Amino acid sequence: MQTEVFEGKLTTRKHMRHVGLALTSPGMLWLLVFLLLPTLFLVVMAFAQRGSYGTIDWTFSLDNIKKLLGFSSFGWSADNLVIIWRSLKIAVITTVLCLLIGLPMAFWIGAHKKRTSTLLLALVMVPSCTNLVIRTYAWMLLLGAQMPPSWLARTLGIIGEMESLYPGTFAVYIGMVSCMLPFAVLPLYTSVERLDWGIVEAARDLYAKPLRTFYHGILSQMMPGIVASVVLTLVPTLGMYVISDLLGGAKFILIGNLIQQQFFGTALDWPFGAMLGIVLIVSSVLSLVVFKKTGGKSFV
Amino acid sequence: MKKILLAFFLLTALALTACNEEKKEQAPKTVTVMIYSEYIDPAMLDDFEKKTGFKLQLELYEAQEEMIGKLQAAGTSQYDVIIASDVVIQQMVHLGLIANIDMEKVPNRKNIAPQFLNQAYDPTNSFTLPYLWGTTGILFRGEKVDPDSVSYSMLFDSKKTKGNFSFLDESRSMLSMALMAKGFNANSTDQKEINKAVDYILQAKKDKHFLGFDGSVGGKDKVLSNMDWAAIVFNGEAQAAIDEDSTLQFVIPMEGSFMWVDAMTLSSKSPNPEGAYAFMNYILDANIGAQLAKYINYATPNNASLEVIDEEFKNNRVINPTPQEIERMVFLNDPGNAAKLFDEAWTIVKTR
Repeated sequence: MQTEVFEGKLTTRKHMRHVGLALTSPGMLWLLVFLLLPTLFLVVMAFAQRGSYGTIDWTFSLDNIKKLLGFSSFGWSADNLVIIWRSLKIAVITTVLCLLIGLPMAFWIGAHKKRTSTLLLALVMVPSCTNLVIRTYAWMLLLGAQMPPSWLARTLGIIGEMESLYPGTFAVYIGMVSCMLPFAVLPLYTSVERLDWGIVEAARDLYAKPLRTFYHGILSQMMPGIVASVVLTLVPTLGMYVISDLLGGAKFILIGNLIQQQFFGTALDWPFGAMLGIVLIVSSVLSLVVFKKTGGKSFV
Repeated sequence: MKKILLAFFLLTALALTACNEEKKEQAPKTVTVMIYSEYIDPAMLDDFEKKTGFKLQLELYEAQEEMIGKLQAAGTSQYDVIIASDVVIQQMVHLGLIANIDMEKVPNRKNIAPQFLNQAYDPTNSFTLPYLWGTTGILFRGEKVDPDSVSYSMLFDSKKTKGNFSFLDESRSMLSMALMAKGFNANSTDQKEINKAVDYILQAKKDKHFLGFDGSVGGKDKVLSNMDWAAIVFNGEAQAAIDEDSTLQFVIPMEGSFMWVDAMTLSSKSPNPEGAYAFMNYILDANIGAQLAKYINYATPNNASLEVIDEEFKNNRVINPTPQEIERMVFLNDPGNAAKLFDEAWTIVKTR
């Protein structure tokens, strides 16, 4: 048996593996019980059928995939695919907006003294302590027809005479971005804090133009933070539906609504809901994989 | 992690013992009623205990789906009486959540108005006793019109809309209204007819005045705050709005609408059926029924209560529709397997 020295103690690889397993087992057990098993159950359920009165009929088929692709009692239609596409679009736009607002914010916070920046960071986080629905209702009131923002937009001719900012696309994005911004700013701030300004100085010494300095000197260092903030915004926004419902007037549904409708609406089609859930999980995991692939490497 | 696990186990253990204790306390002296929040006069809790000796305990819910989910997940043995809407009764029977009521034990059953008997939601009158009932119509602002002359086209025809309006964000209800607006049976499960109803809603959706889909309370709030000119709401909300702003009007469109009833049902594993019957009988008492209707502002299904209730309340057609209005209203049937059709139709309505 091969022995090794680890932290000044003589031990074997096998022993270390056992200790490691023992230490990680609670976490693994947790993941197994609360993540892996439910997900497996979801996969199995996705291929079952809806029985009468919302019960589950355990005969397996590919019907739910057909349904997902748009084959319904009304003939083929692209509706489900349109819903998925719309959810993706809103999630991507929200993420880009969060990044565009979050980056300058992170730099601004990072530029302060330690004590002030901690305070500013706390201020960014404070809104998250309030319930999401309550915050959304606040936006509903603020963007209503009689409030200053709508009045200003009307005066400037951005919206029509009888219209208001809520409900509508603008209100949805305001709600989404304000909800997700803290999650985008936190990882960005961490990477701003860790920036090696020596590299920036070196770039300047070598007569790099500002844009080039930013790109190679700062952005490439911040990639892990940017990837983290993209993932933290994109994945939750994919499944978000409360905000779009409340601020968008529930005119158009997203994949989150569609899932909700399967479990609690008139449909009571749990298997199809499970199939939609898998679509959501797969697209989240895909985006994680893509960002992991690109995030490790820097731009340079 | 271990600490968290430990804390988690401790919490679970605590919750379990709490449950046990609750059960011990709950011995036969308590009647547990599962009911919508703010759906009973709080004064009745003491009054019920005084009159029957049973302690009344309320378990609140906000939505039918939530209630059914809770019952399916946690079982029915913690509840005695469940207040449920007509549309979910057949489903609850099918899922084994409610049991036959021994009608002999509810003598006040004789007070029930005949329109709540032999309906599709309970054809044999063995699972339900009505609690309160209501209607669905259009709440709007502007010049007062003859309530019997209003057509759905005031919302569906873009030439006739006079301002922003919202539809009801509930698939079955909204589709059935569109079916009626098109002249079909509200309970139609014919695919072609549903298709026409879907197209009709989609066409209204293109109107620049269409503000979106909203719940009954949301629609009422939008009309009250002048954001909407019209919205589809339940009559209780309409009355609350009219109390605040008398320029508003509520109508049952001439093509018809649907009414609904919230019924008392007996939990299939009720720990205290005697208490459950006592509660049902208590609610169906003439004076209590009148007190309940006045407090909640919904119509009473109790004929005897109508005799003791004041004239003003009785003659308020928003709450108590006229016979002509009742004539053109129906109860929504349980869609059975057509639920799938309604859901697919609704997905189309909400996507395009």
